[in-house]
Amino acid sequence: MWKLLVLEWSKFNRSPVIRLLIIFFLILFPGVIYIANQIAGSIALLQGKDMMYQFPRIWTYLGSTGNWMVFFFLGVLAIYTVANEVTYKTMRQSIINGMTRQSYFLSKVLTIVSLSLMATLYYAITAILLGIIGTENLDFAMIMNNELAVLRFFVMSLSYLSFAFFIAILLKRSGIAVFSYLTFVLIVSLLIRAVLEHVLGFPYNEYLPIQATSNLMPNPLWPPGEAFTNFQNPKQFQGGELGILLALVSGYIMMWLGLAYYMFMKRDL
Amino acid sequence: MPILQTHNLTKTYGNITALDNLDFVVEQGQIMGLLGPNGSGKTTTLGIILGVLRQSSGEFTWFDNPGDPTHRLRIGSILETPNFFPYLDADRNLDIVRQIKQVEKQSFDDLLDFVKLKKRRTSKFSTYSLGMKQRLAIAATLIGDPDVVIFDEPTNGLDPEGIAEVRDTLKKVASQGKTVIMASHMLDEVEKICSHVTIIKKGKKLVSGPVGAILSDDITIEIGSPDLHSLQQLLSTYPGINTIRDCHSYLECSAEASLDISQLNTAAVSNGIAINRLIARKKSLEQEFLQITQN
Repeated sequence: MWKLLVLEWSKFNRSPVIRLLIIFFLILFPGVIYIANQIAGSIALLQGKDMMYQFPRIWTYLGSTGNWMVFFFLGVLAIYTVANEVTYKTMRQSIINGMTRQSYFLSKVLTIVSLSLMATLYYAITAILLGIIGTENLDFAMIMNNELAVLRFFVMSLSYLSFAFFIAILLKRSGIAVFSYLTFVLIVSLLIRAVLEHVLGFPYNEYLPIQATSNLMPNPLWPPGEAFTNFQNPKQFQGGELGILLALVSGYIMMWLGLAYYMFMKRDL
Repeated sequence: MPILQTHNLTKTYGNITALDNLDFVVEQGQIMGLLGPNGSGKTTTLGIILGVLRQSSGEFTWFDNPGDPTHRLRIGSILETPNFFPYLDADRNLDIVRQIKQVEKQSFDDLLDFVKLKKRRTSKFSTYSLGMKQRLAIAATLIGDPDVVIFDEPTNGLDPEGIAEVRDTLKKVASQGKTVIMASHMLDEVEKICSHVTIIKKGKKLVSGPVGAILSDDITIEIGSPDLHSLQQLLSTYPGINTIRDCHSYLECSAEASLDISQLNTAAVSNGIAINRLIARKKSLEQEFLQITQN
């Protein structure tokens, strides 16, 4: 497995597009929180310098920012690592050169798992550092009071990347795949929710794949009517809600990867 | 030992049959040319035996071992176009192939020297000419010293200089004693490089065997006269002449190798037919190919 990861690294570590996406991710992820904190700090009503940095809020605010960052930058990156291999025909060449389809597929899954792990590690380190800067009278219990934020972030990341991977395997062309991925998450999934809820009276919209993934790291300022209250005390997961969400999203991850595997094994390359 | 055996290999795309029960065998050490007109199924055949296309029915075995999925590690191959990462240089692209082939880390000095790319080894693949890309692909096929190398239209799209360079490289590869399978429509290339040939058309095998056997002993005679009509009448009954084709200013005949040209000339003159053109030559593979594929 390590060899497969080294192989993927050899393929993409010099790609200008990959480098750009990673740099944007690394800078914007904490950057957005920094700017948001500066703005929040300038609002007298909110009374507080570095309010966003304080434990346990930092887990929520940084996680919610990461929700967008992973969805966009790492999602596009995941598509790129698959679809561009179709464009360059290096996917078929890898099989011709001797990789089995299973090991090729595994190398891509390992890539998105590693990306998710690294993004999660970056999230955890950044949250802890900012939390230490922003929290007075810090103790260990305050750091750990985060409702499994690190696990939630990892599962969320892997879910986005698995969906992006599935789209890339399905559509093969990077431009079309990126467009479809972004459009589906930002527009189509909302339309589906609206139709299900308002036309068919479907009560479980929050558990649909994209929404459930996003709900793992919810936006604390949503809905807008509760933003002010939530700003200082972000909502917490109730009862077994978090467990259900984690299990469900893990199921979705298996579904995207399973469908991608089925298509990849069956089709001509 | 058969290196490759196909049995009733069939591939359909909807209503179109790209391969139709194709059977052929490549033995160790053979340099097998896969010949056929465009769309005859050459690349489809290679795609299936290299694992990137799924056959609709039939089967194939590499190295007499149907159950071994790692056989492609022992095969170096280019299918259609050279496929590399455009932002990586020659060394890095070759190293990716090396990793896939599970070969120990190595210097590519000799390989790049062999394909005359040493001076451009640090340039990105995207800056290479088509000929250079093709030569890098040939270098990649040789990583790990494979038992079998497969080339698909290796000189396609190249300028004359590029064709000469790639052909020269292919000859050197073929002379190393490897089993070579080469799909090509460059008949003279196959004739010069290959020991065996399989001719396919519309997905079906027409003929297969040593190039020398496919090339019959028949000769081609070009014969001309101001009175072509009388000449054609004479030739139609002349012993040893098999076929006659009217080429407007002369006639092209397929004749048995034993036919004596000087006697034919004498016979024409004695029948009052003046001869103004008389050329006899051995049939080329191209003529055989056209004859076989047109029948």
